[in-house]
Amino acid sequence: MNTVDANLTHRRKKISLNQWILTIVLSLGSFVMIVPFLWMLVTSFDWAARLHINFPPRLWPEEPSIKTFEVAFTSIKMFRYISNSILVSVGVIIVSALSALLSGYALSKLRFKGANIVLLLALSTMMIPFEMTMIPQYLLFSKMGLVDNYLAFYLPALNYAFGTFLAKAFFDQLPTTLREAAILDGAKEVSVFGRVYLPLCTPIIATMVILLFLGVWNDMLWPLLILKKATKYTIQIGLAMFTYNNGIDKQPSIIMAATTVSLIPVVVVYMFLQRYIIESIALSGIKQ
Amino acid sequence: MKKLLLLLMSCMLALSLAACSGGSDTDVTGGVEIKKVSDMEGNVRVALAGWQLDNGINAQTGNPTIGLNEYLEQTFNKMYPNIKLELYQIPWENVKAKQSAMLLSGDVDVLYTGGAFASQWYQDGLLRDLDDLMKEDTSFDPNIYLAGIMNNSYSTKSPDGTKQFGIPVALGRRMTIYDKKLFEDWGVEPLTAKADPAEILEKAKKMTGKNPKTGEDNYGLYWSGNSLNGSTFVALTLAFGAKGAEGTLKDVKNIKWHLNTPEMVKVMEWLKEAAKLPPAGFVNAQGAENFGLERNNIAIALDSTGGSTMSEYLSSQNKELLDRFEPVMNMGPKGEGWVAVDPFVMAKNAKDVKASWEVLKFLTSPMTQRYMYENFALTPTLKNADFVSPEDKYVKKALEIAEVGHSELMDEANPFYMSDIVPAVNGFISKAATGNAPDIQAFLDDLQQRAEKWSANLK
Repeated sequence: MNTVDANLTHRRKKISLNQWILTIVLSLGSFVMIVPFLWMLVTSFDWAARLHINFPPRLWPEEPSIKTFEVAFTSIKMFRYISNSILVSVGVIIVSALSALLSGYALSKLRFKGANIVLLLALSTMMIPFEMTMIPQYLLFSKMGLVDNYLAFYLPALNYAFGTFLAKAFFDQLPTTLREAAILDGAKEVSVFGRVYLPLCTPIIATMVILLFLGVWNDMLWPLLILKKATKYTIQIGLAMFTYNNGIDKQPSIIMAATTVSLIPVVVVYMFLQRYIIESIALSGIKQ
Repeated sequence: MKKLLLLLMSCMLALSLAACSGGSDTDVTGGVEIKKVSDMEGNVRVALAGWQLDNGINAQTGNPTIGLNEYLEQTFNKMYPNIKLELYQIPWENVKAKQSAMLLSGDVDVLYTGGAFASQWYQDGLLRDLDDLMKEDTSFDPNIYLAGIMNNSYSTKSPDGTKQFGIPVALGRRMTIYDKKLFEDWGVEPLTAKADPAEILEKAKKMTGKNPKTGEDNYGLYWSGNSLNGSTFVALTLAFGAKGAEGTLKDVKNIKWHLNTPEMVKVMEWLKEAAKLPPAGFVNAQGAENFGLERNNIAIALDSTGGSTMSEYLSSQNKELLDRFEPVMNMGPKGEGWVAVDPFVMAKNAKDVKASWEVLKFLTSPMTQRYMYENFALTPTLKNADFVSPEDKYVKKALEIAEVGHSELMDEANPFYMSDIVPAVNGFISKAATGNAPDIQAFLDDLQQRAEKWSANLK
C-alpha cells in the first residue's frame, strides 16, 4: 500500500458517526426539497394529468406528451409574460435597492434629528396588510392615470421599508470614521456614499436583489389589479389562467408545464447568486 | 453542474418552442352570413373572467379552440363596425378584487363574472338595472333564456326580484351522476330519474365496501365536503323542505331565521349518515379524481358535472364512459338543486350605455353561447340550446335542472349563509366523517342563535 492509499484509509476511518447521521439527515432534507420539483416535472409531461393531478405522485407520466407545453404556450403569451415579469422585477429592484441604500445610509450615518422616528414610521407601513390598502392604492393610481403602466410598480417600490431597515443595520456595522476621513479629504456626501460605502455593500445589495426578485416575480395580486391589457400581464397572472369552472378546477399538467418554463429565470438567478442566497437568509432571517 | 442545468433548461426552452405550433380552421359562424346591424358608434370596456382571447387548445379535450378575438372579428366587428371594444382578460383567481377595483374606479362598462359577485355588487350599488334597456330594445327577447335563472336567480335579479341587472350566459352544472357498472356489480337497481336523498342514501350504503365482482374498495357516495357555496346542503334543504329563513335579501336585518326546525334536523341527520360513505378525502374535496373515468370506484356523485366523462369522449370519441355514467336530476322535489349562474352585467357608471347594451346583448346571445359551448364547454342558459351535442347528456340534464331552479335564502347571495352557515355545515360534515358529529339539535340551536344575533347587530 502506498502512502496516498494509507492516508485515504486513515481519513475514511476518521469519518465519525455524527457525520454519517448528518449526511443521512441532509440527504433526506434534500430529497424532501427535490420531490416537489420532480413531481412538477413529471406532471408537466403527463397529458393524462391535465384534468386531475395524479395522487400518489408518479415517477413516470401516465401519458407522456409535450402537448401540455403546446397547450400552455398557445393558451397564453408565455414569453411575453416572462419578459414583462423581468421588466417589472428589474425596475423594482433598481428603484427599491437604491432607495433603501440611500435612506439606510442617511439614517445610519447622517444622524439627523428624528431619524429613529422616520425609521419607525417607515417600518410601521409594514404592519398594514396589503389587502387593506390595495383598493385605495388602485384608485389612487387610477386617478393618476397610471393604470396599465409599469410606473405603478416602480413608484411604490420607492418605499422599501424592510430594505431601509436592513441597509441601516448594515451601515451601522461599517465604521463612521470612513465618512469623516473622506469629508476631511474634501469629498461630498454623494461621493462618500457612492465611492466609499457602496463598494462595501455587496452582501446587502445581493440580499435585497434576491428578496426583491423573488417577491416581485411571485407577486400576483397587485399586477392583476393594476394591469388591464393582457399584453402587459406578468407570468403569475398567466399561470392563473389555467383554470376552468369558475376557477374551482385547475389543469394540473398544463399549469406544471407553464410553471416549469416560468421557473427558468428564477433558476438562472439562483445559479448566479446562490452564494449570496445563503448569506441573505442569514442576514435577513427571511427565506422566500 | 451549472453547465448541466443550463443545458437542461435550454432543452426545455427548445421543447417549448417546438411545442408552439398552431393554426386551426377558424369558422365560428357555422356558415351563417354576418351582416351589419348598426352604425352605432362607441367605445366599450369589457372585463371577462376566465375567457380566452387568443386561439389555442382546449386542455380538457385537446381540440383546437377559437379565441374571443377571432370570434369577434368574424361577428361583432362586422355587425357593429363603429363600436370599439377594449377586452380585459382576467383569470378567475382574485377576480373579485380586480373587478371590484375596476367598478369603483369607473374603469369598466360591461363585466362577465361570478353570480355571487354580481349579486353583491348590485347590492352595493355598483351595477346598473337593465330593465329600461330591455324594454326599449324590441330585438331583445328575454324569453329565450331559461325562466328559472333569468327571472328567479340572485345572480340576475335584484334581491326583491323586481329589477333585472344581469343576463345569464353560463350555468354551473350540478346533478346526481351514478356509475351503472358499479350498480350492476353490486346488483343494485339504478337510480330513479328524480332520486331523493332517502333513495340515494339507501343505495349508496349498499355499495360501500368490497366490490363483489372486482374485490376493489368501493364508495357508495361522494360530494365535496368543503364546498364554498354548500351546494349539496342547499339541495338537501330543498329536498327536506327546510327553508332555513324567511324574508328578503333586500332587508337582511329583518330576515326570520328557521335554522333549528325539525326539517333542518333531517338535513343534518342525512349528512351525518352520508358522511360515513365517501372516501376520506371528501372533506377536502379530494378522492373523486377518477369519477367519470375508467378507474372509478364511487357509485354515486352528488353535484357532479360530468365534465371528465365528456372530455374523455370528446378527445377519444369513445362512448363507453358516456354510457356508463348516467345523470339524473338533483335532489329537490322537482329535481332542482342549487344552480350557479354567471351573468353579464353593466357598471352603474358605464360611459356609453347604449353601446354597452349592444355589446352585452351580443355576448349573451345564442350565437355567442353556441361559440362558448363549442370551444370551451360552457353550459348555455337558453331554453332552446339546439347546438348542444346529442351525446352531451350532462348539459341537457343541467338545463332541465336549471329550468325548475329557484333561489331561496339558503344561497351564496345571503351574507350570513356564506360567512357562517356554510363553514358551520362543512365543519359538521368533517366531524361526522370521523364519527364525531356534534349533537344535531344543539348544533342547530347554536347556529340559530348566531343568526339572530347577526340580524340584531344590523338593526
